[in-house]
Amino acid sequence: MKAVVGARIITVTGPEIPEGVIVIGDDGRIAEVGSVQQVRVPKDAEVIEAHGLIAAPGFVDAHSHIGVVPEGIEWEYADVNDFYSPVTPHMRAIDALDPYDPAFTHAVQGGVTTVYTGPGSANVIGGIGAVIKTWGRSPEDMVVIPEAALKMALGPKRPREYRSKMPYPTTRMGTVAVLRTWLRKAREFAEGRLKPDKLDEEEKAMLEVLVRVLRRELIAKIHLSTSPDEILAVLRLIREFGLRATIDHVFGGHLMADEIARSGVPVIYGPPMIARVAAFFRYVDDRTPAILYRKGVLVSVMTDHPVIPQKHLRTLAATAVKHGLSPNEALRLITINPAKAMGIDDRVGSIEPGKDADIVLSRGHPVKPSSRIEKVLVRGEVVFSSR
Amino acid sequence: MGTLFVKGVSKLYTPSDVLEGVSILIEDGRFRAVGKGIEPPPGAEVIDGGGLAATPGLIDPCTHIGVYPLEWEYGEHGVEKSDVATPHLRVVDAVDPYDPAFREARESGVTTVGVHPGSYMSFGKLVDETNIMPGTTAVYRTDGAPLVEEHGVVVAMGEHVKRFFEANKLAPTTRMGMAALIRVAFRRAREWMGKKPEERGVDPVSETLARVLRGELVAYIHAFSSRDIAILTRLLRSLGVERMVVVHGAESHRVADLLKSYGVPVILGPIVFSRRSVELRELDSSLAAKLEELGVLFSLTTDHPTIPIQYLTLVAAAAVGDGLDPIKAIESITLRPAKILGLDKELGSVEPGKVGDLVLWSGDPLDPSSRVVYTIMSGEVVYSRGG
Repeated sequence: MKAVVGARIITVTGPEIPEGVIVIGDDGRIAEVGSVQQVRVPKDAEVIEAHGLIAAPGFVDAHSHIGVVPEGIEWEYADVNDFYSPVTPHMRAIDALDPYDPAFTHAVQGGVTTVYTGPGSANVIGGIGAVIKTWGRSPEDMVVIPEAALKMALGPKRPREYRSKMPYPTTRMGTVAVLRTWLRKAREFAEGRLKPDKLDEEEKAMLEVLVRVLRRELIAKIHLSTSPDEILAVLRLIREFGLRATIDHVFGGHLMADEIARSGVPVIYGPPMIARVAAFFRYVDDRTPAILYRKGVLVSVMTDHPVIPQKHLRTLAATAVKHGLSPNEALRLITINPAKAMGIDDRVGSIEPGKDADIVLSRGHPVKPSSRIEKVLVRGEVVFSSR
Repeated sequence: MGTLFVKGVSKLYTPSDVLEGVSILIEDGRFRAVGKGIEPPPGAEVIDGGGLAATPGLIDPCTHIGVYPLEWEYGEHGVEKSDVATPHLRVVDAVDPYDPAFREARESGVTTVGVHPGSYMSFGKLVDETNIMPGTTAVYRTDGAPLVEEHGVVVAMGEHVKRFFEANKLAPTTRMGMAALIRVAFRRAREWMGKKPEERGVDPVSETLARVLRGELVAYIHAFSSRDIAILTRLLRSLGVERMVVVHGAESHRVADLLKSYGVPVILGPIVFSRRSVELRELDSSLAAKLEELGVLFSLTTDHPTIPIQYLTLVAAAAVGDGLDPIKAIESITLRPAKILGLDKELGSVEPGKVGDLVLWSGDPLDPSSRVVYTIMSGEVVYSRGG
């Protein structure tokens, strides 16, 4: 047993506790949370002294490619985009994940403890991404949900010089058409009108994944490029097929805030702080998350690692503070909101009994980039301590 | 020009000293007096500084503001492909004073920027290009007026140059070839300098490099790896170049002794950016604290549009989160860049006699919750919140 004692606790889902205690069980989960007056520190507990520090839940990034594409190394190790075909639902990021990517160490130092990492956006249907911890006792121990979401990507696709199984669509409407066709095929397959004995094994493997998306067992994680019309197209697709989805990047989302709010679909913005130099970035505006937040949208921010290094997730949340959110509101963009968007809010995203003891202890508010992160716990283990 | 009196700010970061409750008098565009107990002269415009923090106008010594307009449709703006070395191109001849980034800079408290030719960095590698000597840099006031039309010459080496040359089938293709080309260009300039003025003819390249040799222009070494920094500093020093500044310098901590022995400062960063190539492997927000410890003079940069100019303070805050003293962080976006630009007699601190660039903040300048309340350039209010 362990106990974090004396910190000001930002629970995220409940009120702040000015001077609190977090009791952590041997199972790595939070056993009890409360003020120093309310909660008795168990006698045998190892005490983590935290007076003068702020305790926040470990940060969650709902859109990253950590471990699937390393930083600073060329294509030999980049495994996010496979040009085998524009439709590859049967590929899985977990099968290409490098658990020894040094970015995991940096992520922990930056307080990021849980990430969704998955395939890229070169394909219309890119493959299955995983939810993982940034630290584990073993590579297997890092994995939270090996098959968490199926990556789909709107926007025009670049024609590839590879001998791919199917041609790549090159327009925005072409991409939507490919996606709709495959979702319809999956529906036929699910409803028994497309007989398995008429299909080869590869096609079956692809359709089986898509059927799980139609049954809402897998999240449809839908990437947009930068054109606001894609927001309307994606909302149509989500309605048409009843998908459990997230809309990722959502550049220009502030222009369609009401439509997004009405749909109730979670969105993951970003990454913020990127260069807006190209005609197709004309709708990129880092005010988007703050505006969507005010409309009641379940909004998160992403690093899209390696686009912005994983450890800087909180600095990206700080951009939302620049654009009008309070630090505690911005903290939601990297904790409970991405946890809800990925359906893992029963395990992470807040400091509550029963959840994983993923805790960031900082000197100063954690979304202020100047605040030093002093300690990071993953499942109750102290995995980072500042020198 | 009028008289402006800022009465009783809560905190003034001069930046090296933190003074409480002082008033600041600006007359004819320059700081006239700073202290307690000074009174506004008759007719002065008075701003109540109560509850506000003040810093000098911020300085980002390396941006591409005005070079890459927000929505360029086609064309290469920062790099000539017609030749491998074009030091005589003047960025001042191609800066768009209506680039909205100038306004965003003023709104964010930035009053002076260096403008460099060559490429900004992008996660997508397509535009990450430069030739060996893309042209001369300028220093701009963020009202869009040039302060120094020709300030330095960019000399670049590294992955970006090699990649650009390979993509465009330009030669030389090796670092030894590039070094030889630089050596020959400076040799021609020496020869040109030795000629009688009437025999010199029209040779803009030699003319420009002669100004570098005479110490009138700074040699801005755009390099990331320790290898490229070492190659260029040694080469240029051997050719008789006195004034050198390293820009980017992702591995400058590895060559700290060399930089100190040559007296070469570093414009570091952007430290919050993708480590998306081998030469950026060590780029990190902890580098600022490292260089400070090693005693290398450095300032911070956004390299706008790599990181949008409005986030200069967030970049400095991230350096503090990784161990840099907050006062040093504010220095590194005010006084230190002024020193590196050789303009510290005029800019970079709040001292009588210097140019009256002052920013009033609603709180700690490095806190993302703080807002710029007033930006004052040469004693004129150029931005006021809600005004």
